[in-house]
Parts: sequence; C-alpha cells; structure tokens
Amino acid sequence: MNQSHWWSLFLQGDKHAFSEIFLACHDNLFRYGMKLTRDPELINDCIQNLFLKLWKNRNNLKPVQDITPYLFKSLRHHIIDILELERQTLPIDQDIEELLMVEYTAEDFMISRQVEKETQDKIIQLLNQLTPRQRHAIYLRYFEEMEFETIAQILDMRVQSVRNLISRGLLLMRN
Amino acid sequence: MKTTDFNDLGELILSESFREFVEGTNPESIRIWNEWIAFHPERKDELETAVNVLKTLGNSRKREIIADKNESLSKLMKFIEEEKPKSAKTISLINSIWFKIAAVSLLVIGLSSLWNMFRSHNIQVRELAYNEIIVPLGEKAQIILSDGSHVWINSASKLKYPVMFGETSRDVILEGEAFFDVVKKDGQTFVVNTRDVKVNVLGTAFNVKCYPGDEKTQTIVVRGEVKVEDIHGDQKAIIIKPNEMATLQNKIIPEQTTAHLNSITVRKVDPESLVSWKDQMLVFSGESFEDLVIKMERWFNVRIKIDDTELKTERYSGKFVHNETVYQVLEAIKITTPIVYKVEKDTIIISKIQRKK
Repeated sequence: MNQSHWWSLFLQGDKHAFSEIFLACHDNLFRYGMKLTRDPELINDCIQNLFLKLWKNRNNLKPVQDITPYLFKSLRHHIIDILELERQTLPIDQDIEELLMVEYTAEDFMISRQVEKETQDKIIQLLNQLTPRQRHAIYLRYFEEMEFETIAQILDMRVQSVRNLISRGLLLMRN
Repeated sequence: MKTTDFNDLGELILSESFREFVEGTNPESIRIWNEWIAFHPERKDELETAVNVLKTLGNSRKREIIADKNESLSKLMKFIEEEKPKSAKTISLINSIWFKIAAVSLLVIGLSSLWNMFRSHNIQVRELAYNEIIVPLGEKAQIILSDGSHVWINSASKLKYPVMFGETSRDVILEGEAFFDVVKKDGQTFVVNTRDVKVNVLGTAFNVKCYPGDEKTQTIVVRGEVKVEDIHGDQKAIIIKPNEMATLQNKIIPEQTTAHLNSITVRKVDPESLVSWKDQMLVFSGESFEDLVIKMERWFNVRIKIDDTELKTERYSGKFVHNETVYQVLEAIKITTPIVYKVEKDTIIISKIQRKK
C-alpha cells in the first residue's frame, strides 16, 4: 500500500487511486472524528466533504510523502470549521479546541491481566481529566500509534511541545 | 541507555526503553529501570502510576465503527461524476426531437484559442466559469441561459456562454449560427461576440450567422433592436430593427493581412425563411443554388456538389416542415427545377438536366 504513489496518481485525476485512498483511510479518519465529536452523521459528512474538496482542488495540491497526517489534520480543521459555524455564541476566550472533546471510555480499552480492571477504570477517569489537547495528543500517540513528528503536524505544534504535552499529561495522573 | 540522574521523568516515560520496561519485552530495559527506581525511591509511586497508565494505554483498542466506507465512497463518487458547475439547473436542453445526446457535447472550459481571440476586445472575463456547446453537422440544440434567455443553436455551430452571468454584462461567443431570444435585464446588455461583429441587445429576438467559412456575418432582428458593431474596422455601429438584416462583408486587404475593409449594409428582409431553422423548418426563399446547397449540407450533414456552374445561380423557393430527408427535398426541388442527382461515395452530385434542342 504505497500511499504516496496513490496520492500522485490522484493528483493527476486518477479516480481509482482516489477511491483507494478513501477506502484505506476512511475507518481511521472516522474513528478519529468520532473521538473528537462523537456525532457519526457529522463525521460522515465531514469526511465526504473533505474528500470532495480534495478532488476539486487536486490541481492545487502538492505531492505528499505521508498522507495520513495530512488527512487527519484536514479533517480536524474541517470539524473545527463546522463547530465554529454551529456555535456562534462561543465565548471569546474559549479555545475552539476545547470543543474537540476526546473522551475515553471503558470500550476504548481491552481488559488484560497486566492491569486490574479497577485500576484501569480509575486511569480512564484520570485521562478524562486531562486537558483536551493532552487527551487529543494521547489518542494520536497510543491509539493511532503515530510518531511525535506526525502528531506535531496534525496539531500544528512543535515536536518538543507534543512530547511535553503527553509526558506531563501522563505524569499528572495520580491516584 | 545509562541510568544517570535523569530529572526529567516526563521525557523518560516517553522513551522506548520505558515502554519495553512496561511491556516486559527487554531484559536490559527492565534492569535499567529497576536500577532507576532503586536510585530514586521517592519517585517510586510516581513511576508505578506511570507504568499503570502506560499499560492501560497499551490496552487500547480500535473500536468498531458504525459507518460503511463502501457506501460512503459510492455516494462520494456519484457526486463527483455528476458534478456540474454552479447553476447547472438553468441549462436545459429541451425538445428531444432536436437533441441527440450522443451527438452534442457540452464542455466546461477555461481559456481556449477562440477565447483568446476575443480577449483583446474587452469582454468581461473575470472569473466566470464558461460552458461551451458544440453542435455538430446535422444537429440543432436549444438552451436556456442563466438569465432565462433562450438560444437555438444551428448545425455546425459553437456557443460559449458563462454558467452564470456576471453583474455588468452578459457576453457569449458564437461561431456559426444561433437565434437568440434575450430576456430584458435593466442595465445589463446582452452581447453576442462573433469573429467579426459584436451584437449588443437589451431584450430582443434576433438571429446571428457567422460561420467560419463565410465571408460575411448576418444579423437579423425579429423583435426589438440590436446594435451591430464591427470589431475590426472603424465602422460606426449600426442599429437595426425588426425585419432588417445587417450584413458585414469581411474584406481583407491583400497586402496588409491584419487590416480589414469592412462594410455593414442593412436591408429589409422577411425573417421567416432566415430564422425558420429554429422551428425545424427548412425554408428557401429565392436563394441561389449555391447558398441552398450550403444550407442543405449543414442541415443534413451531407456533402453536396453542384456539377454545373449554370445551376449555381439558379434560384429556388420552398418550405420543408415535416422533417423531410435530403432526398425528399431533392425530389421536391426536381419538380420545379430541372435537376438530376446521383450519389457517389458519400457525396451527392447535382447537375442540370440538359434540354434536348
């Protein structure tokens, strides 16, 4: 699955390559979107609109090495745009990021013998007390298994900031 | 990695070795970290929590999603296939008698060489998206523009028009022949640009003919008033009224290929025969055989050759309103004009019957 190859073909107007990209990325994008807003219809629309926009603007796009962070970032922006539209009465100082509420539930984790269920549940609770950004970054790191560079791209942050964000988040969680 | 005094636990817990320690996959890492705990007993609890957190995160699972990507993809591709420019709903190709879908192509274009030819004539280009309708030989088409104006386009003609008209003027580009029934819009003239003339109207019904092979451009008014301007020459613009036809005779001065010596003449006509094509009526009113044959070639998409030079100047009048075939028309012409025709390969050859003396 050479995604950057498909991407180049897509830029040239290859509909088949475009479909392949969609199929390969859809599920992860959907999962990611659901983690941010938990509205399946909204996410579905966002993904379709995102791809439609990509198709329409393909002549203005550049070849990309790794399309996953590009798509995740685009989706995130798309969702933010829609939320901004919907919440016209957002208080001025509230960061739109605050609305991207990554919430962890028991269903996000398997039960293993390594961690007692009780401990795990407590940790899940603690995770949800982190800032939205920390939760977001942790999701990308541990659920999407992304490199720090990739996460930095998606969140528009510096790599070191991402590392700090995650590590402090992890250390903040105390019983 | 050596266990020296790292103060930044934060950085450490992100490290590979810590992950291996948590997962118990690397004995070396396990040893290092146990050492670290021994050196920093006060941070033991902190580390244990971190271990549990990472173990939990290690249990992360990708949840099933409740969306069907294949269905989503089909919807998307369908939308892309059907994607038309804005206000495509104002384009309607009516009257199926006329319109054979396979034969007429509707293109969305940016700039083309024909377009560039008009650039210098100050046509409002801006960022309007344009459509082009190309009508092949033997076909006709009818469209409605975004302002509600009706256009009938004759065989072997092309019309370029904006998908959505702009604010100030309504410009279209014609090659060939078309009949326009323009909706009046206050302050917005409608301009038909052809190779040699510009026809300005406010709200009128008129016919413009300027085929690439023709030396002249003819504009005929049925209703209202139009202003005909010579694009190349210094001719003053002429305004013509119903039942009048303005003919621009394009004369190129031999030595100077870019100079034109044009004349616009106006004469009274009966528009009926000249615009009847739009109503599917093939009408000849005293036309020379030379012109008649050209008209028939375009109408039927056939090649016709006149074998006798005498025949070329003969005149003919007739009306064909029942979608007659070319042969039916020729048979009808035979009744009043002594001709005989034969088909050789894909050309119809018409010759005069020699009267026996």
